[in-house]
Amino acid sequence: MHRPDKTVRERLLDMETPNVNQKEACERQVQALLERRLSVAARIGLGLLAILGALLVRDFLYLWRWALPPDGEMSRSVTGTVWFVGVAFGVVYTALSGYAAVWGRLGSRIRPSLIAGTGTAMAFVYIVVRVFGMEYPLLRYDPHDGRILLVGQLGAAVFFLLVFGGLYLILRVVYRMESKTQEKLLQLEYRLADLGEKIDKQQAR
Amino acid sequence: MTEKEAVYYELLVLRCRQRQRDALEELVRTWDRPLLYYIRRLVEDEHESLQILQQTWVKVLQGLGRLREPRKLPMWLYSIARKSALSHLRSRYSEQAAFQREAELPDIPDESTDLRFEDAEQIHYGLSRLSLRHREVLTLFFLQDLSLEEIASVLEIPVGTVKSRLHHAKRTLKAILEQEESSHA
Repeated sequence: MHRPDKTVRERLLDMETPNVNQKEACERQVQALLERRLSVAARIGLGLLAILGALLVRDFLYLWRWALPPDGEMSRSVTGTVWFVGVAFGVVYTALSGYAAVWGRLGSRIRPSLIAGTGTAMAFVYIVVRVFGMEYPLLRYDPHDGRILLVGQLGAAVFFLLVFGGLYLILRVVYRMESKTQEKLLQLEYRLADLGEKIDKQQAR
Repeated sequence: MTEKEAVYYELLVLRCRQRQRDALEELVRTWDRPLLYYIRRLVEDEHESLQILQQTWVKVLQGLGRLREPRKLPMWLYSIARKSALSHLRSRYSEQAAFQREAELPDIPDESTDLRFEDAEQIHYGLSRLSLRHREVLTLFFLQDLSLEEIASVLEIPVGTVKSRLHHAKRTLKAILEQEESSHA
């Protein structure tokens, strides 16, 4: 890199100041970096997803009222927790995709990965609840085996959800830690390079 | 580029990839003005230049995660800015027409000896009189962010061509400035 006279560079840059306030322009650029404007098609798509989320929430609430087993057949706490998780994911998903569709931007406030994550979790719980709901009548015919079957399936589904969710979280934590470690190493390398530069300057004097 | 600068760029890119707001602000604060200056030398209209600058920043954000050599950040930024500006020029005129002015310039005899440029105002004025091809190589040279090899990479031409283009551009600039001086005298 050639820097024979740094002031020439600085003075050249000073001569090119846009009419708009530089600070405002800088903030606007950062905002543009953090946010992505959505096209009309993307906004419509997100709006449809929000409607789908709302319909699933409604379905969840309906299932809650219709299919919640009475005490004794199945623990209310187990089924209640599954439905509550489903409703919670559904509400968050609907709110996020609906807000993004109305606001027209994705980025710092609402990340696409967040919408995708809550949507996947909601769909997973919904499928589990649906399967559970279809098999629930078995309890009427064979309360003992039916309960074992349903609890086993529900347990397996929750297990897979926890395993995949846990795996995702672990990978995320590992990536963050790796990134932070690399940052610390680079900071150290930068300080060493800075020190080396200062020593070279002192020796040159 | 010094080792310190190279490490600084790598660190800045890493922090930007972590979506650290202060890193993104630092990136924009450091490079907004040089990129704008470069783009303005390629595109005359100020409003269009600002639009291209904005497009450049959006592309930078989209590409930061895929940047293979973070230590070459300045080169990468100028490359994106150049591609955005040229894409704009192509849509407005043909690229050939944009670079045509170079052929219209008179040949400058190879007798200039002192090619030192100290006066930023004169350089700024002189750059506007140069052909686009000369203007962009000389702008990158005066902005002092890139080595000749990196300038060659940004302009997608061999280093030897950069050197000869730079040589001719300096001579032409000097001739323009001398002509200007004599007309004022």
